[in-house]
Amino acid sequence: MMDAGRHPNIRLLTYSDVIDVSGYIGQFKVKVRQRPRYVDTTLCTGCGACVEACVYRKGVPNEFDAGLSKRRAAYIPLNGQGVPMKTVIDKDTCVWLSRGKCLKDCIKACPANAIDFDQKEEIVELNVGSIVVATGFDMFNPKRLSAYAYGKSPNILDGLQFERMSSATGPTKGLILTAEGKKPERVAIIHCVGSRDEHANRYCSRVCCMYALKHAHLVRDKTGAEVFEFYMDIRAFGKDDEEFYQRVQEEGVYFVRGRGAEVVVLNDGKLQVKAEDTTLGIPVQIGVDMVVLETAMEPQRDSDKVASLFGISRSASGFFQEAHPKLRPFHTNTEGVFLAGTCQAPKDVPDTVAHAGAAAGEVLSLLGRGTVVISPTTALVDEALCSGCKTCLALCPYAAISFIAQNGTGVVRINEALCKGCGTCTAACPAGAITARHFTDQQIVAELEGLFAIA
Amino acid sequence: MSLKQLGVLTEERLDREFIKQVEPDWKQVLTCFQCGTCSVSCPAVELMDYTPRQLWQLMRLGLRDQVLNSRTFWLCTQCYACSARCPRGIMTGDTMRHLREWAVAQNLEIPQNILQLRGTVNATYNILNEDNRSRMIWSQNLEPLPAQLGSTSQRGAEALLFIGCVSSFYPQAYSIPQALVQILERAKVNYTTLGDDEWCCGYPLFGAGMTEDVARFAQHNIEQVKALEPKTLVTTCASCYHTWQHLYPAYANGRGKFGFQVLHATEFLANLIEENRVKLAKLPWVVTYHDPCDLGRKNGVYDAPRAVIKGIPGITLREMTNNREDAMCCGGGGDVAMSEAAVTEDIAARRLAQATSTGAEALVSACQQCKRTLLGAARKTKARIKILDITELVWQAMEK
Repeated sequence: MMDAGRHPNIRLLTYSDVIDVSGYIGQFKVKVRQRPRYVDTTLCTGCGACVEACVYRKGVPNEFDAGLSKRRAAYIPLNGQGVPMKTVIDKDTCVWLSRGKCLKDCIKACPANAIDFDQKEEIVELNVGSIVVATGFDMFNPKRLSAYAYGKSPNILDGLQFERMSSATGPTKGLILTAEGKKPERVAIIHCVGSRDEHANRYCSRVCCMYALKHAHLVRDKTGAEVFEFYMDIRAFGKDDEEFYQRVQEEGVYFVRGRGAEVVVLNDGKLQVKAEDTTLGIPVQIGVDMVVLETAMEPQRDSDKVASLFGISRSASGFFQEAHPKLRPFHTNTEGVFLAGTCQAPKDVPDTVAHAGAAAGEVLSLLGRGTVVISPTTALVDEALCSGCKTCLALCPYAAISFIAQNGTGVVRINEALCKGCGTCTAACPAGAITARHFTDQQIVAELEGLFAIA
Repeated sequence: MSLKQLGVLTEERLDREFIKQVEPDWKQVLTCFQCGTCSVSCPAVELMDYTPRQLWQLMRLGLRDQVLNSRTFWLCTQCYACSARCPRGIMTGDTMRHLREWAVAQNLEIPQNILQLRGTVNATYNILNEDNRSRMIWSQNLEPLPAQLGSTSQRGAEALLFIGCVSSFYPQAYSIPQALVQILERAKVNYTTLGDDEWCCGYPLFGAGMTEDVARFAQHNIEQVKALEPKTLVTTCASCYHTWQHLYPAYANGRGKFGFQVLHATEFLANLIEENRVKLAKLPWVVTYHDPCDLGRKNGVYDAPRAVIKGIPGITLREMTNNREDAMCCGGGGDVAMSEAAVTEDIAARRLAQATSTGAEALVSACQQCKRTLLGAARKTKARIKILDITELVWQAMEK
């Protein structure tokens, strides 16, 4: 991110949302709303004086620490490591912006005079040739599965919370501690929370097995606590993954082959995890100090809106649909719009890097060529026959047809860059004015004759 | 059960048709990935020879004799805790019942008391082998006997009370319909009952895998209630409620069209409280609420009983560790109380322990069978906790 922020050919629009996309490959028009951050980024040096001065000391849950720490209304995203490394003032939390009353200590504290409460949102219009959608994922909220008692004890964490806790920049500076501030003596790790479950998501979230094993390793390494890992299958299919699994086994983690089915918060606040050890056929009840729910990756909550904005579709799981599951895994059905990373499906870091690299490569090759190669199987309108009835307009799934008014009536025209040759308009045209190139009636009849010909 | 006793699995032992014969939804059972969630959720698992998970595997492999000789599906309390959690969405509770159906249809050896139950219900129209003409015995010591109860079979009433066998004949449960009619009298609700024309709803036969026997009970009860044209059928029995909601529509002329609404007493009471027709006085008790499986998990009625309890001024509701969709069964379902009383007692004692550990002075339920089993457990363990039905609690709190 830091390199992207510094690169002279990259214009980074952070704190921004795409609100409209029109046009097609080679000439997209993209409207971006830049939300006001109430800080002039050309002046702000990221010194953090305003953050210190912010009167909102009570704080709100810090998104970056998955709610394990608090942040104030003025903050530098990603615990001070965001790009650009400049303050944002969150308008819903800021006392001045939400209630109109505040001492505004931040203004007094800022040595660069960068704070500007009059900042308004800005609409930026961009002309671009291609688009890479890399909107990422959301974490499954385990509150949706009541059996895990998530939210009923501060010692029941989801995968991301544990990840933050074990990070050196996290709320405990990397120490693995219970809410009571002690090293845990026994930790349960539960796989497949929110994945492989008809009550949540049917898909396997793919990365959880390996991050769960990493968590087990971290607990063993940092605290020496006993770790009970409840799993159904260990899916360690990546390079060196099985070897890592073996190493974690050697570290003395107790592997229980059975789904962690219930977490009970006992009356004294202690936790108990219930499962069946399916290899033995016996019930398991383990008392622990901490439970880590290895939660699934989910599509972003607004992925339906993003999909319709960019004209891409979604698969049954809600992730963005690639053009072909094997051969075009980072393309979409809209030419010039590509996918990168977990917005397409759950992925680990190396897979995300590979996916994103491929999407970037495709964009570069388009830039290098300067022209677009399209498929020859597009629809063709015989304008002499077209009566201008517009039947085809509404039917085209790719919005490739436009109406050209001519002397009181008009004709339709196909944009060959957008047309996928699906044939819908061809079949629907009442005047028979549209043909599908390479699939004309004549060609199909000839094919049929060949098929049914007596040898 | 030691799994070694199963011997060696060879291709000759696979009965490939078995699962298709037993379970209409067999394809779903094939998707089981043996995670053990059903076993963990099952209140009776420790008393079973095979855990539910093992039973599915035996079914999938077609080890017919091992499945049919297992006691596991006869110990199922039909609480559906397993089904509610199964990550594959398998209706495991249905499969347990389908195994019973198969055993009944094939004339296999089934628990003696279950067989007896069939004879009893079919001959006397109630589960207790009592003379059905004494159905109203529960009302006899009401002083004074409300006039509305004396003249049964009143047409067009606001509420027809479907009492249910347990409340009608088990003295420990008489107080439930008694409380309800007293509440209704005070709320000036026009109500009636079927009197001696009420028959068992048939749910105990359904649960025993004798689905075919249910038809005549359904038809009789639907006809009787329809003839009286009530606005609403109200029942305090969670099982009768489930039967009316989910089994009877198939037997009604024009599926699901009874011509009247079916409400559980908790829903009816919640409405009365909201309409301010029931006035509640202060009752500074700490209570906990037990979700009956037939009302909660099987019908999603979680909020109405809680609204009723919280409608009482001064009351404190303390939830047990397992509540709502995760509630633990009282042990009284699935006819297990008849065939394996010790299993029911064991489960009830564990549920009672959850209730007492909340520190509540009263355990409130909304099902007469739950009250009966939990009361039994409280007496046996000498637990210092009141066991009440929600109607009794409301009556207790009503301004007198």
